Amino acid sequence: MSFILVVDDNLDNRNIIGQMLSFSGFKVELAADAYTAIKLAKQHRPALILMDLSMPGLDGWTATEYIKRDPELARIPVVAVSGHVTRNDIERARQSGCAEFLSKPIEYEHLIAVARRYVQ
Amino acid sequence: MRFPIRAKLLGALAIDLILMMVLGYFAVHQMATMNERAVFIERHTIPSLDTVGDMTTAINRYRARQLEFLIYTNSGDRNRILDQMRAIESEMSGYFLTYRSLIGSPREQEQLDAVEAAWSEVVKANHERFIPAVRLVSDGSVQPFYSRMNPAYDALDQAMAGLVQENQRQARASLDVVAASYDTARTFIMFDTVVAIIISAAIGLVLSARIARRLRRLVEATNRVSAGNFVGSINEQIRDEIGDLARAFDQMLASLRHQRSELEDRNRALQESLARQAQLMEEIVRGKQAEAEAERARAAAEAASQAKSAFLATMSHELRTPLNAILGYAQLLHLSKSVAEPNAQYLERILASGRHLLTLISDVLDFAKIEQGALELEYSQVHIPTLVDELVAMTLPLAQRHHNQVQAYCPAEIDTIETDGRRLRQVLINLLGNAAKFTENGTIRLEVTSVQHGDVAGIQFAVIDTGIGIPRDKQDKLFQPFSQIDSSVTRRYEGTGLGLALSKQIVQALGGTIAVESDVGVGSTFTVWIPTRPVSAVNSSSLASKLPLVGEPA
Repeated sequence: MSFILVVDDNLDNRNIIGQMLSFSGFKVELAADAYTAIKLAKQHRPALILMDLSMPGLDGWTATEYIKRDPELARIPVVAVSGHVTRNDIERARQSGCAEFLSKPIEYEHLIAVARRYVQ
Repeated sequence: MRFPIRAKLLGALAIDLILMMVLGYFAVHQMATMNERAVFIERHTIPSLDTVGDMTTAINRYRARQLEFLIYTNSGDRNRILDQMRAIESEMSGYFLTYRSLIGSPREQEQLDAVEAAWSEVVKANHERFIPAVRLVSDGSVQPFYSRMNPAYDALDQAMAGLVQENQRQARASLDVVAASYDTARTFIMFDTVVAIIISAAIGLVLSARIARRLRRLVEATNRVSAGNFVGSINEQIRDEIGDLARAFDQMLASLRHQRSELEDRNRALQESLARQAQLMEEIVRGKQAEAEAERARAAAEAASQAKSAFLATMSHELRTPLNAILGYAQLLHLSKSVAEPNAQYLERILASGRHLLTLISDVLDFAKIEQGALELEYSQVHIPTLVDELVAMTLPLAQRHHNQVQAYCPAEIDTIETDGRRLRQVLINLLGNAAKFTENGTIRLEVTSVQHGDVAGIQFAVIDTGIGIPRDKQDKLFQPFSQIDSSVTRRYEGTGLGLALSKQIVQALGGTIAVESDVGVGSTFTVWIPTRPVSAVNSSSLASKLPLVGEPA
């Protein structure tokens, strides 16, 4: 069964998103930074990556760009999750290769609807 | 004296010349007189006296012949002597003839006539008495006869003496005339010369004194002028060269006065101008200082504003992070259904309050952005019917909580407009939320119409409620920040008091208008008008889209 990779440097956010998805029956892997996320993605090939944008070290925009350039990972859809609400940030995320944008705080119904669009 | 000095000098010279000419004429005249007298003496007196001398000699010879006639007794001698007597008589006639042409006066004529008459007596006595008597007696005692001739000869002598005397008198008279002429000429020449000298001297002295006096006035005036005193004038009345000079000087003086007054005027004007300039400079300096101060104040204000805005952005992010966690965990609890009543209700309150807190934080951040002119507008094609559907769906839960109906009206011809859909939605949600909050058991209605303001086409959204309404005196303050009707309202109805102020700012940023109509107890109508496409003037005013975006930091 395919799983969803949740990338967020904030433990609470990671837990909340992971629990909400689990509650709806999705398999979930958690990553606290972009490096770990890319390593996990290469090893296990998730069905969807939920990517926080502003993270210390490698940020979400750069990590998405990397994933989209990697021929092995390019097919995996990436959905940006961020407290950033400016159009500029959303546009940057789209240019990096994000398929969709989820704003914080996460509303359960919204999250599940998005997840269902990418994962059977 | 209205003549040039040259004319005056010429006049003086002319007077002198006339005097000289009179003198010359007179001298010539006197000399002519003297010459006439000399000629008279030469032509008349001298020949007369010569003739008289000849006549005297002839008369003596005649008497000598009478004596010889007495002495010589022979007839031959006597006839010869008689012939000689007759020759003398004819000689005398010639003398008389000669003398007649030399006679200069009637008296001389008389004297000559007397001489001739006396001579005729002598001749007559000789021939009638002496010679016959002598012829008769031949004894030689002839002396009585000879003596008898004496009276005739005496008369003749006397007449001759008169003639000579007359001649001398005439000569003396001529000499007297010459002497008198000489005296007169000498006196006249001396007089004339003296008069000429006096006149020349008088004219020269008077003229030079006057000229000197006038020149002195000129010099004094010149000294005054060179000392810087331009007051007064020479005022020459006389029309000559000095007069002309003086008038020219007066004109120069007047011109100098005029120039000096003009110069003083200009100087005054210049000083005033300088003073004004100095004042202006001072004002400019002061203005610059004020400007610099204003600039400093502005920079300080801007820095403070930047700091505030950065602080707000950071705070909102920092506030949102735990709030997100609270909301997330609350949702997880809610999902697990493990929370029993009444805690499940408390969980609902936590979620609602958390969501409210989130909008408050967003409002505060937006307001800070607008205040700073950093509100970012994203124009796109907004489909109005879809927007209306979303708004109704979002308003419905809150409205139903207070048992309100929600109605929407949107004519079919209204389609898309170009505006910032997110901001427009934010405004309308705020208005609809307010309507739902302040209305119970009523109706909340959203009406969309096409309304043209001037040349600009636009869409009007009217949010109409049947709620508590707003007193008229509070309506003007409605769109000012932090002004809910009163604090009790704030307590009763949740809100920062920023919602309407923020809505107004956003609507204005979009180039639209917002207005309210309300009656207490009847309800309120909020009207928002938005242009169908961006208005350039609005873009450049409050949006300040060129400013760097103040986004939420990570």
